[in-house]
Amino acid sequence: MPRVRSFPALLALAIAVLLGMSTAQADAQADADSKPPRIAAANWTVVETLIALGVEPYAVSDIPNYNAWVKAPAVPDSTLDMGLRNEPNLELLAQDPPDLLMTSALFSRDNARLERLMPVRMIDNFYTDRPYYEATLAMTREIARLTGRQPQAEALIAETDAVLAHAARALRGAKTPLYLVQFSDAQHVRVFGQGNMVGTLFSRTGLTNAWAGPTNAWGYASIPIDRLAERPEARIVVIKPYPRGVEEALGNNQIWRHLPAVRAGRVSFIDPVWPYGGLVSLQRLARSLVDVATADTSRASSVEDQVP
Amino acid sequence: MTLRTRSPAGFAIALLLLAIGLAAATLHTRFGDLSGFWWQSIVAPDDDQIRQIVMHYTFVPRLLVALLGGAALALAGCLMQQVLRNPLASPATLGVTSGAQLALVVATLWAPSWMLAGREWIALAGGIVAMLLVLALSWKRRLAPMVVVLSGMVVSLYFSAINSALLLFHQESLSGLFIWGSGALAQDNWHDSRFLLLRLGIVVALALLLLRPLSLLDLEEDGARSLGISLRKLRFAGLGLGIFMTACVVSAIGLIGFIGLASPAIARLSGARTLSQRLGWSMILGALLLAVTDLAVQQLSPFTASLLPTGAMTAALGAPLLLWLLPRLRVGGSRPTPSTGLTMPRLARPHLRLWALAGLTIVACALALLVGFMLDSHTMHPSVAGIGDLSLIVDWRLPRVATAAAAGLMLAIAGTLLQRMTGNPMASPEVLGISAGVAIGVIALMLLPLGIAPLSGSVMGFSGATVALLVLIVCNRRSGFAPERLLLTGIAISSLLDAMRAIVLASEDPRAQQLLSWLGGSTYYASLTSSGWIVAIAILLLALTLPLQRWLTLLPLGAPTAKALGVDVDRSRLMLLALVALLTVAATLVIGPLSFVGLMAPHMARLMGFHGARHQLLGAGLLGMLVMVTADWLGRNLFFPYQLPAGLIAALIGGVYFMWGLRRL
Repeated sequence: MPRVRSFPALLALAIAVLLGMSTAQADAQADADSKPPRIAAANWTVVETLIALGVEPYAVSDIPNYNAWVKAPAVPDSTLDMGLRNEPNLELLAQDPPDLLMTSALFSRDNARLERLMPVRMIDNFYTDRPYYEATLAMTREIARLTGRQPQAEALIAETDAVLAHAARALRGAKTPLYLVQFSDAQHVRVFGQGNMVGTLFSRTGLTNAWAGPTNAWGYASIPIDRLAERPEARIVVIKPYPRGVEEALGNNQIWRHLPAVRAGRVSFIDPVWPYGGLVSLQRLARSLVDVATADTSRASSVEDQVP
Repeated sequence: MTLRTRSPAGFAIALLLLAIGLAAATLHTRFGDLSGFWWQSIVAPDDDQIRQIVMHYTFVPRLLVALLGGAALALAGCLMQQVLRNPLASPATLGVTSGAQLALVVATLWAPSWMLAGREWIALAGGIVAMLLVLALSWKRRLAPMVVVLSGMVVSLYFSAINSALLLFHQESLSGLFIWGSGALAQDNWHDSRFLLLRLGIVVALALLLLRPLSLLDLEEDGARSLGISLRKLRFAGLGLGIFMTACVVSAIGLIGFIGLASPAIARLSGARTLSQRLGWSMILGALLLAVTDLAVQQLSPFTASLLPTGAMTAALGAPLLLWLLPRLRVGGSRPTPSTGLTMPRLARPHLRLWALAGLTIVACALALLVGFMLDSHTMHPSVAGIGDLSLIVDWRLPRVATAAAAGLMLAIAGTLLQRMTGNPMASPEVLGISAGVAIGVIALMLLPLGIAPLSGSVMGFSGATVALLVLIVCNRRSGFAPERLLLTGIAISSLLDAMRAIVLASEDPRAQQLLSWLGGSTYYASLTSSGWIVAIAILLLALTLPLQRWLTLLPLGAPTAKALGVDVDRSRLMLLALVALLTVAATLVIGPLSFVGLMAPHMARLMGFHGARHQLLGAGLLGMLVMVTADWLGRNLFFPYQLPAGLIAALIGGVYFMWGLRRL
């Protein structure tokens, strides 16, 4: 390569290179317009909704934990893992920014800064001043609008309504009140009440929630397990997975073993489902509850079967 | 010493009455419906009456576990104090409890099957490792009481930093471990009670066998040796018993702070003289102290939305207790000569070395900017960024590198100021609890329903730092700022922060994760603007500090000398302290409270031969930048795309350095 001797020549060369680069970028932009938008999502609720609408997310947060706690729908293999939910890896996103980043209200401390990298939308079904179901429908429609999947969204909503209606029919005879819980350790559970997915399910079907106490902003209360005896006739529905060590500890837990529901075999364990999630999680929870409530007499025979 | 006229009996009876009152209140509020059946519920509950079952399996075992655990920890503390002849020794202050806990967390994560084989043995292994570490660190100083405790508290803070790193990645699956680990005493069967009762019985029996030889340790060592006792075996046996007892308690009911320190100390201060008296009264007091705390927590819990872990509460109460005890116990504080480390050869031309250091720092910054993971059509691999990635480097790596460098610079300057002012080679904003003060202020802000605003954060942080400085001054004025006592005060403040952290984490607040990340010192939120500000502040404060080199040269000579040479000692100290507070607040707000850079950098600068005030300031500043930039780079890339906070990495590096430094204190 000939040596460039004068400064103006060097400057001209630099400008030429920069111009070339920007045209190349413009071309890439034009290409991108014809393709479906590439979406990155930090919030697992948004992730499950995106996948349900048939969008292959470009990048999502913390895939290993999503697989353990939300479980379905599965994240496509092509999707990138962008790190922890509250700290999407910006070095990663900056190298090939998505067309849109969807964050949640909880992790949105620095949206203004992220805006410089890509458009950012805060999408959440909590913190909206609206009831859970209404907020979740709005969230689903907004995600659909942003990804051009309105028909799929309406289908998903209709499907959810159908699932709920079916659940309501199937559960018409179910009189047993339910505690819906997730273990936080062997002595404490999060029991779900009003103002979330579980509350919606109870109000849309004929089921009775055995927990009528106060709940926090996410619709649950942390209680010691002995309070699950306050409604002795209730069934206890445990959402898996357990935190580490809980499964073993429950075997020795005398309160658990003496709870009226456990003694009578009225305990059910359902597959992991994200109780703060969207319509897919709602459908999965509704199906699980129908299974549980309709099959109770046949399945649960003795205490021993139910204690893990 | 006003307590000396009374006997422990009075205090114990007062505690007992308090315990009975609280227990009765708890019975009435929680089991009022069972009144008349209380006795039946305790001895033989009706299987069909869930309320009786609940009382039988929760209330009674919980009370029993609190009593047994308290007694066991007091016994362990008493044994440790006797063996080490150190009134500040205890399971918590020697790092044994946190060693045991870390071992259990590690086993839960990577070898769950071992947990079935016996938790107490895993905990015992962890406790022994911690104890050996502490002994190794204080060996050279012949196990001087203050040095032993200082090493123990540092080991304990270090282990809890490792714990934080693990929790960042495993929050959901470790949530139960949070609650248990912070010492929630909730029970659901009699297993723990039986477990503790059996082991406490064995250890008490063995301790009684050792009672006579152990009490001879009250004599001077030569006296004991002339009576034909193998001191080494005796100490080994006594410490071993103490550690085993602690491991049993930790594996059964989690981390319970300070009972093991407080009860023997109270027993001693209130007049228990002989070893057997001290053992007996400590166990009674320990049992009652933990029971009262736990019953009080149970009374409070209906009013708080979240779980209040008893263990973390005792730790939070224990830090002020330690501060209160310090001047009251006659601790043989040996004073190291402030000139430690000054024996290194002076450099003939420190300028050259400063320039070399500056060059190295620039190279490190350049590498931190250029080397990272690159995305190549859906695979990520480490590589060097090219010209085309300019915006990536400028927008997303530069702010973090600059922030880390500025924070490192400020902490290093603050550390240099403190070390020169106090003539104490181990002083630093982190070790003296000033950073912890900032963090406590910010956590308080977070817990109050105001949200996080940067401005109010810095105001609260500044107030926290000021309070911490005041506590340091008030607690140490009388002892003339004896080095070890000063450090111990600071570490006590830091352990208060640790307790607050445990309470917040056990509260299941989803913001806990954010807090954990900030406490770890993440540069994630740095932007070009914010990093510009922080760099400007760092340069401004450096510019303010450099002209003060006259003070910094004269103050280490001691107040009288400095005064004789015309320094207004009080005014100069006050100004330097204000500067330290400003530097620490600015740095801590971006890099978190536990990085140890402020300790490491001035130290390393002196080891490299920078002795003059100006050269040490500049050398330390450059080293601080170098360490923080490296820590930030490691944090960003070790587990890409998952990121570890830079402060945490710096603490893990710096903690080792601190321990190494302690060995030579």
